[in-house]
Amino acid sequence: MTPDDGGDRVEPSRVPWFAWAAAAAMTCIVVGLYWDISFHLTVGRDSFWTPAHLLIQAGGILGGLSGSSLIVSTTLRRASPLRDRSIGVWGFRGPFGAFVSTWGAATMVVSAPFDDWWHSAYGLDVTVLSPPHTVLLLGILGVATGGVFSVLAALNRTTGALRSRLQWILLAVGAEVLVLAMTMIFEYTYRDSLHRSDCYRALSIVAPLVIVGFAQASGARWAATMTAAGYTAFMLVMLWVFPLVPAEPKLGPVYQPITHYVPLGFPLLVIAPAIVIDLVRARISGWRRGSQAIVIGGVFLAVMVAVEWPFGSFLQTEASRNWMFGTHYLPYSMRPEDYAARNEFVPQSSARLWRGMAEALVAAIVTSWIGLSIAGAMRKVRR
Amino acid sequence: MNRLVSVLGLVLAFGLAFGASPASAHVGSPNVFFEGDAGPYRLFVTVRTPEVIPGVATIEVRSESGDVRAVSVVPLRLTGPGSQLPPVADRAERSPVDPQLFTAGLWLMERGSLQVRIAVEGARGPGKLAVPVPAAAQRTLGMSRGLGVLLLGLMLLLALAVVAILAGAIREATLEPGVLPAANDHKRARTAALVAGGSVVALLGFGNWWWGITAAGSAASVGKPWPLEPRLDGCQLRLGTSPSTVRTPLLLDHGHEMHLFMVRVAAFDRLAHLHPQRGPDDVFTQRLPSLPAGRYRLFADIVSGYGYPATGVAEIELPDLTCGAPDGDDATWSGAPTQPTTTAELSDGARMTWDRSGPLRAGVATALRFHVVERDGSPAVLEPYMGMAGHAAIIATDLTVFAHLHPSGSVAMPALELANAGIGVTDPHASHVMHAALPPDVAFPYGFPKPGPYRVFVQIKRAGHVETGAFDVIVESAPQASP
Repeated sequence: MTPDDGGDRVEPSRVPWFAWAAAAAMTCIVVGLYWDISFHLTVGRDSFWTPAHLLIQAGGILGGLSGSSLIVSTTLRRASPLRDRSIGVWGFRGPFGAFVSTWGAATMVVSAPFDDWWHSAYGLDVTVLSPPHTVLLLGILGVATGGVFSVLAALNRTTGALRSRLQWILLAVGAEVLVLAMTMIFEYTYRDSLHRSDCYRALSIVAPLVIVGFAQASGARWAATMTAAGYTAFMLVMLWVFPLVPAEPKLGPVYQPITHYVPLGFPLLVIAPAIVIDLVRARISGWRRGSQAIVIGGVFLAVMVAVEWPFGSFLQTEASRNWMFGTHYLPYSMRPEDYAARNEFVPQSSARLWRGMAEALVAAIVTSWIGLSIAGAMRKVRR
Repeated sequence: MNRLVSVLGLVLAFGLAFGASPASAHVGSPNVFFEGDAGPYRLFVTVRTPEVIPGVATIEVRSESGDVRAVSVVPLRLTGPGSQLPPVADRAERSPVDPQLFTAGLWLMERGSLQVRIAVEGARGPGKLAVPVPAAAQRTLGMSRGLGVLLLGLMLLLALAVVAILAGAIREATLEPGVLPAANDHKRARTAALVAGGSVVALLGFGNWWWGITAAGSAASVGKPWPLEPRLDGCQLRLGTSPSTVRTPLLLDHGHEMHLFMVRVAAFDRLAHLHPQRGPDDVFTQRLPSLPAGRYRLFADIVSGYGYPATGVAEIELPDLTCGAPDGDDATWSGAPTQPTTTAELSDGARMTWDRSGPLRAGVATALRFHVVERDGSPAVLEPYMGMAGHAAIIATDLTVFAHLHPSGSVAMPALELANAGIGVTDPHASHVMHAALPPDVAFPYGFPKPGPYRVFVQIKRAGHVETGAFDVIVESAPQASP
């Protein structure tokens, strides 16, 4: 990489290296995170040096080094091509995305001793969402967001063929951010929860924000669809590839016989609401943001429930216990009496279901509005 | 949230027999000491349980013979589905100092009634052994000042950095290349910094609240003695129910659901080993034998249907009780406080000697060996006492430690029978001594958990009478770790 790849007094004609670095960092992180959770479901025994952890850390390091090198070169070299496309923070200069990536990488590093102490104080946590894991996820989100803004700033300054290529990279990163977001809520969207409102509330909190945000920010016609398609493709490839790799549990007690890696499950059908959102948003683009959010949020939840609820029923049947849908892959630690092991849904009262669904609707509208708002700001970013 | 836990397998299968407050086996003595046979090999097994669960237990396996080549260990639940499928076994490392000692670190992922299965390979073929391990969190850890300051400093730096980055972004990120920020941009940046700062403070407040909830949950899961509620009605002692009392069937331990040790404090000059019976109302009752007035500490051992042992504790002030002699397997002892000694006079004139040389040290696993001789010095003949060659009760004089031992160690015998059944040891009473005449020696595998003064009561049976030897011992600090 050379420093002047990052930009020119005239906008460059090729994709800047830091855009590729952002995509590569995010790829490392999402693959590493998926692998790490699968490792926990399959092998169980953890250490700092598992390949999955190293892949996550590599992603963080790549994002952090990419950002910090841009900051250093922009700050120290007055003739840096990015100098007039930078922001100032505490005397340093660099692209906005570079600062965010560096912050994210630093936060990931800080989470390590915190997580280590947490394990010694309260025992090894085996949930995705614990306070130190949340610090790590904030760091990962920082690296991801930094990468997104690095690509966006270049995209917003560019026209023509390069803009189209940058749009593709942005949507690829968007799909990876969607994978990340969906992984964070994995425990609420497991197969046995697809008839519960918590699943749809969790989905409504993260999915519209990412899908609508990236769709609006990229400006591409089928951006929401492509973002969701990227997520779906990633999850399907993982679902079909991971069980090919032999593995055994190294922790006990073991409740399920395991011979190969356990994947995270069939992707949630967010592609369906994404297609409808793409169809709808073209027709309502002139509306006020609040009105757009109501329509998009409502469409998201309605279509999501309409497709996922019956599909969830299918996933509990014998017909889904094959390589394609993968519902026969169970974590080693899942007790036989657990709902998922018995192919049943965790029950929920009607009152709670309807209240939860109402909350999900509000969440979908609010996050759609936030997605639209952030996208508006994202399209203005030039530095 | 329950599903969240079940998906990733953190199964807190602990409130099975007890209420909300998890009970602990023994008192202040969480490690497991066991001596038994793995096929042709006699093994001394120590399981040093982790302080937090999930956490890593240290398994020490010492072979009596020198022909063991390899030892591997694996954790399972003691009963139920989790007892059927072992994970990949951990190979224990042979000690470079003591070639008969093998050590392994083993993750215990769940609280409750677990077992460690040990497989041995050696010159005389393979052998296997199962040791029940009651797993409970023992404490939560505070953060060291150094780490706390470091993390606080880094947190503040990151918090200020994110505010500064957002303010910088609001000020300049949307400007066209080369354009300098105007006064209005600076004003917007200041407003953004305030909003971002408030958001960061709110986020940190949320994190602190979340951390507090987790820490409280973890503290609540720390194993504690099961609280008893004793009440005296004439000669009748009632151990009453409470929210944390027994709710499920119990396993019989030497034919009894409960073994109750009553010791007068702080002189430790009276001991009663009794066996209360459980009534339909889940209240345990016991007709007390004659006892002098005083304050008594109660330690009550039970074993749940899942093989999890728990010890209940309480204190009760007793008046002078004239209630008759103990009967059945019940026994009492009286004696004056002793100085640290290795010989105890028994009531029938025989003598019990504690065979030991050198100081006892905290944390060191050893066999506490006792030898009984007749009045004339000839080896005594012992009889089984509730199926065992002997029973020992270890009590720290500050009452922070209580352990009830057998010749096989600190494991509960019904739990051991469940563990043995899992590896195909079909005779459930293999560990019990059933024949009438026993040699004069009895040994108890154990490691004192902390330094300090202890009283050790050893009970044997001779000529149909239970005899108790009492010993005072001062346990010294743990040895320095070998290089």
